[in-house]
Amino acid sequence: MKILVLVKQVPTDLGAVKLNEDHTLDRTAAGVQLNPVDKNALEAAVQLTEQLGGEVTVLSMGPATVKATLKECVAVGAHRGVAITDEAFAGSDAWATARVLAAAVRHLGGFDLVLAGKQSFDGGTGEVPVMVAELLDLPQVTGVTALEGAADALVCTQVLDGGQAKVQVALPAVVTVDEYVNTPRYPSVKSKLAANKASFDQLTNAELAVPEVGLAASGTTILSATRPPARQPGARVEGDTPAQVAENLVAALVAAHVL
Amino acid sequence: MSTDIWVVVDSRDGIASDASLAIVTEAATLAASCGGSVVAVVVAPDGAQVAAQAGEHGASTVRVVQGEAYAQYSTQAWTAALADLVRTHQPAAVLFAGTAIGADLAPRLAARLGIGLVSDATALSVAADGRITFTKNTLGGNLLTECVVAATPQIGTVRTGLYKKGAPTGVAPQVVVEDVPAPAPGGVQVLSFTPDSSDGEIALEDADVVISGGRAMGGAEGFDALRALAAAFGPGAAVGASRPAADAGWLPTSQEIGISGKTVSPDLYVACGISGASQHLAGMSGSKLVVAINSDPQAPIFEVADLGVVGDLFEIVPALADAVARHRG
Ligand SMILES: Cc1cc2nc3c(=O)[nH]c(=O)nc-3n(C[C@H](O)[C@H](O)[C@H](O)COP(=O)(O)OP(=O)(O)OC[C@H]3O[C@@H](n4cnc5c(N)ncnc54)[C@H](O)[C@@H]3O)c2cc1C
Ligand SMILES: Nc1ncnc2c1ncn2[C@@H]1O[C@H](COP(=O)(O)O)[C@@H](O)[C@H]1O
Repeated sequence: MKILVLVKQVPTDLGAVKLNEDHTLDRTAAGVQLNPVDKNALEAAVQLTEQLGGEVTVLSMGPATVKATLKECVAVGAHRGVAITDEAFAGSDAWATARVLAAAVRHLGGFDLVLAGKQSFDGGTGEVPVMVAELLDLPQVTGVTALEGAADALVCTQVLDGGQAKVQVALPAVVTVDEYVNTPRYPSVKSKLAANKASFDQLTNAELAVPEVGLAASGTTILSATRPPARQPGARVEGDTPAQVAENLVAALVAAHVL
Repeated sequence: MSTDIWVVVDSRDGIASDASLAIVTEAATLAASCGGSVVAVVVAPDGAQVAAQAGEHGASTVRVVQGEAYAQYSTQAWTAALADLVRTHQPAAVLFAGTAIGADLAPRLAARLGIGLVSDATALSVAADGRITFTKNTLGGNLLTECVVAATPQIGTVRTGLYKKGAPTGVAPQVVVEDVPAPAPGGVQVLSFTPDSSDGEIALEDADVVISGGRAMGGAEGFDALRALAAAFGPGAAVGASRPAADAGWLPTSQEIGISGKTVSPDLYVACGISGASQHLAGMSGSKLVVAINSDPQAPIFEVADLGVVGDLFEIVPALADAVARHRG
């Protein structure tokens, strides 16, 4: 089975992302990490190839630093990594990102399964993999919490509103997983050293030829961006006994009109 | 293009979800300010009952796509039907509740139409040019943006729990049964659907009061104290959990609150034995009033709590349940 995993590099500390005057974000002080749930997507891919044979490729669009993220993936079982880096892609929203990723999936070709995380840590909402599925005209299953693989189909458990669905999806398909799907393995010292030597293919828009890219091709327009006011710490509610604390708290809730 | 605001109303067994009815009610307020009207779109095996509910909560028109092909939710069938209707009727906006189905469907529809969308909006307004503007809280609550979809229609999902469905209007909507091409098989086959067992309990996203417990609950039985407190607040209260408590199986994972769980915005959020990690706060920072009960006076949850109690939750919570019950008579 040939599996492609979409992995995103995200800031480690969201609070340290700075807001520039022009509404763009300065992430330099925020550190980088592999989007946490993408580790689960990768683990699912590695487990499937361990059971069924095959190869796992990780694909990431982002600045030159995404190579570090690809290395991290190789250290926990990815066989191959591809970085999509091009200045022209700066400012891409989900729609612009999905078009580049879909073009890259087509360019690389021949995948039985595309796995992705359910959502990205830095405010993503799981739009990207769904849009990639549509652009590639593939079936999708999102937010999968358990997964069983066979050569030509997957059985996925999905938490929907009001219950759990078990669905079977024919391959090729796009599947997004949530953190409950598995427990990602840790790299060993040996696998980390080996990953350090890995080299990665790089794609730019010269190869992908996506007609419109970056900020100008984004599907959404930001009208304003502000830092929300920090929530002010409130009052302490005290009392000599738990019963007294409770009475004082009830009085405060009544005063706040929530009781 | 029309000025109609569409709301996709999802349903199960003829019952519309409260989350999508709440968006219908909110859209009715918006439509009043921009001269449009609210159209609910129902895709269901039999849409009549759901259409009536959408009308009761503010839709003046309901467009229904129905038939046995729609017995189970299918991304492909729903996307095909909605794209067909959007192309025919050209609404100004298409809104979804940010439920699991909304998150699965809205980006697929947007991509089929070749445009972007705004997901997880926390507020809706109407811009000077009549377009719907979405407010979004991103980067784990560190950034507030106002945005629009660059093309038409304005497609967006709205965070659940922020809006409540309105009182029934008593007005019957105009129901239009739409004829769309039968859906092609989509490659996904539903093998089974197991409804949540929390029968009769209000869904976390719809609750006015959320009592949530963390690692400090110590076990499934620890949550009994929280259920008793929720019961004291009445039928509008639900019990939720932080990640470690849901991970340990003390409460179903469907009750997890936070970045990888549900987002709630109740009138009152009571965090019991929860430290206040940013991933948890991301799921509850829209709550109107936050109460924290924690034995550690340095716990970060106190930085966001309106009312804080430093103490042992196993002493405070039962006392509070008594006091609330007494107050409510
Ligand atoms: C990628 C990722 C996603 C995550 N997603 C989520 C998410 O969606 N939701 C989520 O909640 N977490 C999430 N987390 C985990 C999060 O980082 C925290 O670990 C978690 O929220 C902590 O849960 P807690 O507050 O219950 O436990 P702890 O941090 O262990 O806090 C327990 C608290 O209970 C207090 N306490 C102990 N005993 C008592 C007592 N008797 N009475 C009163 N107080 C007491 C302690 O003082 C402490 O403050 C995520 C983490 C990662 C890395
Ligand atoms: N720039 C990117 N490169 C590769 N994969 C991505 C990128 N952005 C998003 N993804 C994938 O899409 C998932 C959901 O991201 P998002 O739609 O941003 O919430 C992530 O968990 C990744 O698997």
